[in-house]
Amino acid sequence: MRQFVCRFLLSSLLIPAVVKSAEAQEGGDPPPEIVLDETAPMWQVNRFAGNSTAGPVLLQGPAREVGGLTRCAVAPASDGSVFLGTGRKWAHNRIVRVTPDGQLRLIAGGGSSLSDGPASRAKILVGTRGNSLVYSSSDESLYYIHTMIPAVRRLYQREGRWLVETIAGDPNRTGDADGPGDEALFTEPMSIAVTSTGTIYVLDDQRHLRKIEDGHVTTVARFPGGPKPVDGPLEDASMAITDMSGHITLGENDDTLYVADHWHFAVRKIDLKRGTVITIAGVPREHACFNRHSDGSALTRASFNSGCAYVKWDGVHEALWCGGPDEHRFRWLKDGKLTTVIGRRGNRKWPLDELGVPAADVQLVWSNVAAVDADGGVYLVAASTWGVWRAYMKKEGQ
Amino acid sequence: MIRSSILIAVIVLSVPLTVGSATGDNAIQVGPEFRLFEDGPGKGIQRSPHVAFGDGVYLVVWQEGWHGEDGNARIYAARVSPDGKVLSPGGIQVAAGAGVQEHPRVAFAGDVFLVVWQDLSGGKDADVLAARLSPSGKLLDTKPVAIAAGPGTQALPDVASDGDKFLVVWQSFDRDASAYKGFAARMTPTGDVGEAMETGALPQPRIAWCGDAYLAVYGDGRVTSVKLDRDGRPINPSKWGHEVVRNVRQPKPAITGVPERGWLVMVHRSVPDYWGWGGPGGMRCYFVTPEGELDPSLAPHLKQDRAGNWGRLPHWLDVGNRDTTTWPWGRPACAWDGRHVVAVWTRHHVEKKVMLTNSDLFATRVAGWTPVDKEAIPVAKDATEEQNPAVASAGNGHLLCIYEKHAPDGSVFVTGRVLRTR
Repeated sequence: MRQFVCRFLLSSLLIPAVVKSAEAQEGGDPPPEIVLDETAPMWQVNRFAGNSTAGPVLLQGPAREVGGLTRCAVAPASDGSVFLGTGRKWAHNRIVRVTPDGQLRLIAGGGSSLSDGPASRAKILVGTRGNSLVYSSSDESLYYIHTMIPAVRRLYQREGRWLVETIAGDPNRTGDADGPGDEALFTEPMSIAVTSTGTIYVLDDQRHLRKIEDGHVTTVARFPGGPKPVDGPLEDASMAITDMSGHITLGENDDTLYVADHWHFAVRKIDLKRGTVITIAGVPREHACFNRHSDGSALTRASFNSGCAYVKWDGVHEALWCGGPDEHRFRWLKDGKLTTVIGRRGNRKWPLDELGVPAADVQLVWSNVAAVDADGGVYLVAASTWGVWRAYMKKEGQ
Repeated sequence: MIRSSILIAVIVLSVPLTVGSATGDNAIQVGPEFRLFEDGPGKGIQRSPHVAFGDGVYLVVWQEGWHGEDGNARIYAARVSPDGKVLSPGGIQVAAGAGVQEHPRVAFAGDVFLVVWQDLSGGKDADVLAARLSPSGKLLDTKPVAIAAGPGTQALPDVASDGDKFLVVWQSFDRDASAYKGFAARMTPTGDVGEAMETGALPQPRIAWCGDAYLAVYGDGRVTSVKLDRDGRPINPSKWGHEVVRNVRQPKPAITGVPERGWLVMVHRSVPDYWGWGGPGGMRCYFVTPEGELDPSLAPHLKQDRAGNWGRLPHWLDVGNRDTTTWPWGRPACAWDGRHVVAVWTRHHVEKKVMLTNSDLFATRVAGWTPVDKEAIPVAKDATEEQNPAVASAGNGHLLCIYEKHAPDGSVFVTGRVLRTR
């Protein structure tokens, strides 16, 4: 019965959408257009962590020799380390650290405790779709969330030992309540962002933007749904976030938050100081269905394949990485234009375990930019091929 | 007259079969639970247990302590009598030194046990080390023997024996090729290590002996096999391996030899997914003949096996169901008890459609590639999580099953139960 329902949904929703897309292309709409960014030839990609021949068991040691990494959440730290959240929703996850000399070591996870205490005993769940793992240099902590654990938790080091602490919510109880951290309740934390001063923004349950400041949780906005993106004051703005997206990222300053507004096929910008929302990229949905992911002018030409699934601010290049879930390439929004920087479509194999691969050869499917480090290195992850890659501009070095 | 003779012959022949396939409460008798090491230096973290039987005693090995960045995991061992009495309650530290030792495996040959593990004590990359212990618990190699300690990661060893000597397999990273390769090396009970042979078996090979050859099973995305001779040399090499099971997400197979008849391979099926597109979870077994080929009598079921069938197939030991919130998944264990293979696996519960929670252990006897017992028999089933089982057989219907028991406070203890099949 379940298979029948799934097939029915596929045939009734997906296939007509694809056909409609093909018809639209034949019917005179311009085909998807790829505009290579002027920096594209300068980008290269290294395998950063994981190896395609290593197998499913988590290993420790040189990061490019380990197995067992799934699609990862990525959080670069201020000391040059990079934290990875790995594992899938059906089993215990783990958080590992890749040190600046390339060694991958286990930090937390594999246990069964949701209480505060040693990371070695902790049950860890880290989402890999949203921005679920963020390093905060203000308190040298790693904050992490997962939709199935209704709490915001942090990992920190004291006297050489890694410890876990719940800073807001109750890992065992869902709800929707503001207040002091230990009294507040969350429903399904999807994405997290931490400002330079330690204020935390949480996208909760696709519609609620929550803020944790000085240990107190408040609700910043409750976004209504709706077929069209409505800009304006936060209390009026609509969002269409799905469980396949839910990305928020802080932008050029602590008062700017970008949102991957998935099913509106748009990137939205929240001015937290003024309490307003505007659309900054993505043509309307009816012009941007499957296989329509054109580059070009952000509001009149650019589109996302299957909606906009992720956003990630790149402070080094002053650009916003954004894209659909299955575009096979990585694009950024800069100066009002969406351009392709890394990757391409096609079926050619690429040397996915190598170093210095030209960015144009990269083919990662169901992929996203997971993080950007202080050197301008861009961390790429994918559902189809596990592990982490780091893209960089040649002139900026490895 | 002829009909009467045939009838009598059928009745006479069917008697031992009926006894051998008895089902009921006593099909597998499960003994009381006991811990291997109560107050170990690992501060309540014991993981990755494995067990072997030899010279009248079981030797259990495990990782004692946290293996993370701020940890110091050591390989420990304990002797256990066939009736489940821990003979070395203080544990035996197998190798000294600081750092991280993981993934221990043990086998018995000649008159010694051989323990192998991967060792990150150097801090840069893992090596495969080994140490011998006597059945009385004496550590014969106070300095571990290096099985594979070259540049690059050498990891995830397994060991089995042909009764006289050991064969160790592992995966080794080739930095020039940016890829792993599978290797094997013979080791004698006196501690001499043979030449490393490239096997093609990776990732994470598991091996078992069956009369005249070893079978290594391995794979990512599917399970494949290769036969190895006593020195670890591939007998039936194939570029893509001999396929045992196709389309397995994160396979963690278990294997045991069935003397002179072949090998039984166990592996889980799908993981839960939100829409149920991947079909149900399942614990399945496959039989590989002495020629190294999949038993042809399995063929009619393989198509259904791959098709996401939601019902239970004849070679499935257990099937998951999100409605009843059960989901078999994870690395199983199996051993030959002299008449049947005894198979043990983890059955999880499912919350929110996809999250695996409280896990229990179940067992059944297997004849050929079908379960003998109508219902899976609970081995460890309570409010805490039990998982990652290992099982060894004394060969006379006595077995020892050991596993990780996860307490709500996050501590993990290696725990055991004696199983009796006759």
